[in-house]
Amino acid sequence: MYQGVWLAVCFTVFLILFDLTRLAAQDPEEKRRARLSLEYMSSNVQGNQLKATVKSKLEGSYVGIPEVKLNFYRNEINEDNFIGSIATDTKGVALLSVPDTLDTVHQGGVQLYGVSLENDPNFQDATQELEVTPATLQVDMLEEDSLWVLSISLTKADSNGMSQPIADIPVKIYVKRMFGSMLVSEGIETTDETGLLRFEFPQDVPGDKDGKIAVEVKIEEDEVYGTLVYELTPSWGIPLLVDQKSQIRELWSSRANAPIYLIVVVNVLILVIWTVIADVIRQIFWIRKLGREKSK
Amino acid sequence: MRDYSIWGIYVSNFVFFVAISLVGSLISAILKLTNTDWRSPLTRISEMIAVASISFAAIVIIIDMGRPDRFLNVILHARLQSPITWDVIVILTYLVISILLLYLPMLPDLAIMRDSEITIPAWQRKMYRILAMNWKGTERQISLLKRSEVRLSILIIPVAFGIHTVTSWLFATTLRPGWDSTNFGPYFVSGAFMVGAGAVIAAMYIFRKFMHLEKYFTDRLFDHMAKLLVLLSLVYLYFNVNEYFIPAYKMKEYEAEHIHELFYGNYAPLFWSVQIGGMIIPIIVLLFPKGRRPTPMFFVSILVITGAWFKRFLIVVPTLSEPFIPMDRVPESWKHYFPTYAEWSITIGTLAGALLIITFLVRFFPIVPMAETIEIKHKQIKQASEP
Repeated sequence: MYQGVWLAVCFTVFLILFDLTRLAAQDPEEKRRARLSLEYMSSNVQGNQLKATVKSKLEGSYVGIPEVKLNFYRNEINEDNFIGSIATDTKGVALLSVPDTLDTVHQGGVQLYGVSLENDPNFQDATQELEVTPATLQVDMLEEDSLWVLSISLTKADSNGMSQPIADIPVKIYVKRMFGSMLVSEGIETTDETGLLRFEFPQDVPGDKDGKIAVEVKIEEDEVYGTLVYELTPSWGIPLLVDQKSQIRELWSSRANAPIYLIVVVNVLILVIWTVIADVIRQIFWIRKLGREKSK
Repeated sequence: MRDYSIWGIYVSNFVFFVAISLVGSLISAILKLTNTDWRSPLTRISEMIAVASISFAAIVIIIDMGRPDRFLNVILHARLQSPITWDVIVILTYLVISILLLYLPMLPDLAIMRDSEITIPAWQRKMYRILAMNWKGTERQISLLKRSEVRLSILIIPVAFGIHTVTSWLFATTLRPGWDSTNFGPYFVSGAFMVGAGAVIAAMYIFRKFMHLEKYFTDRLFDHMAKLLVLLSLVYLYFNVNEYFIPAYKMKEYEAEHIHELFYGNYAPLFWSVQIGGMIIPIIVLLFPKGRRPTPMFFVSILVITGAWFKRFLIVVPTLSEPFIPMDRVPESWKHYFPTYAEWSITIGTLAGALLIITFLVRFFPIVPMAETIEIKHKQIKQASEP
């Protein structure tokens, strides 16, 4: 009788303990609408890339959707023009490198690219197309007297393959920092009618210990030419002096600079404890030796 | 696991294993050094549980790292300032001491097994011969053995406190709500002793029932263990009151969110089930003599163990689900943590693995210390015969 009551009580408590379903509360699965965007990016380091972003509305705001497979196309969206597929990252972005061969074929003309989201279990099908005119961004570093100058030129190839200047395009100049890029060009700088822009680089930007800085010259999301980036690393920064405080032995210092008291305490503890352990192990073998002597 | 809940079920399971392993030091050391004779039949079980648990604690933490191939980096690039480094050191030390504490008192028993006339496979007899270390029971051997046992029993107590205190520091050295507590060390240690005692009771019941060891795991022994469990539960209850009542009284901004989530929010059913089912009910039941009988005690111990496992889940996960930086613009599923099928499977696998180690040990080694039991019987007979 008592055992039965006990079983009932314990079973009830178990049921409550295992009631974790509320922790797993999630939205029911349904096919949602996705917003697809496509950009063309050209960089002297990364090469030419297509950047597609998938977003969907969640709790009133659009958020990037990870792990969605996207198909990329050159010209119209159909199987013949397929150039690759890639899944979105945690921010909902998929980057596809466009082979140089594809771009050079179409130099001088407008190029059409497309991206599609097809047969996804969670999202409705979506497509996006983009027209882009390939352009060339070139940056030279000049040191004129006491000035540091970036000489920027923006050109495109005409139908004969000849270089043509592109005027009135806004250019921004950044310096890469630890958590983002710092804008160093003030106001709106644009290329002139010869496609050139001359920018006097500020002389008060902190650099690494050798004074090197990572400069990015950018034309951002231009509706005709896309995003163009030119990266260079001149030694135009103020050399960083290593803060001697970081060499101090503190709890937050590097492993090589652990506080002496900590090193001493931990090592003494390890030594004492492991000496006893080693001695006990030694005694075990002593016991064996005594047993062998007794047998003899 | 998720970006936010980087420590999920695996770390909860790790803390559980570390906790349960403390039973070795409780029975083999604390009760031994206080000359508590009734603990004698329990020493072997408790050390077997300790060895199995601490072995799997080490394995679970490697699983949690996600890249087991990088485990050596923890040692090669150890940063002495990090509690994780301390934990690696102390777990290894505790594992070695626990194995020695299991093995050393077993030497005379291994010699009995070696010399017995029971038919066993040749390899098994050879194993006993090697492990028995030429034990002949000479005065000198006994003296060495006793001295080593005492030294290990003394040594394991600070190491046991160290292992769980350092584990608690993995949490307490951060500023996160629910973990930012000076109470965490003793809170973890007291909880560990409680679940360890629960584990021994469950093991006692199972071995008594299926191996017919009623003669050794007596009702009186259950009664002693029940009283010990009540004491340990009351100590743990005291630390729980400190751990939750004081933050709930002050209701500092982030602590308040955490407390609300536990007391009334998503985790409330689990929280109250664990507190009531895993602590209050066992105390109440074990206060009554009828509750201290083997069968009710077995169910109570299962409640204690289950409650203790989920308690570790409640210590680890809710805090991670409430980061200081708001979770904006992330998929809805990222805001909640619930273990995946793979996580559950691996965790259940580790629990089964620990039980498997105990099963192997029980299969090949005497579960009740034979030589010690004989010695105690002789002592009792001698005392009884003296006028």
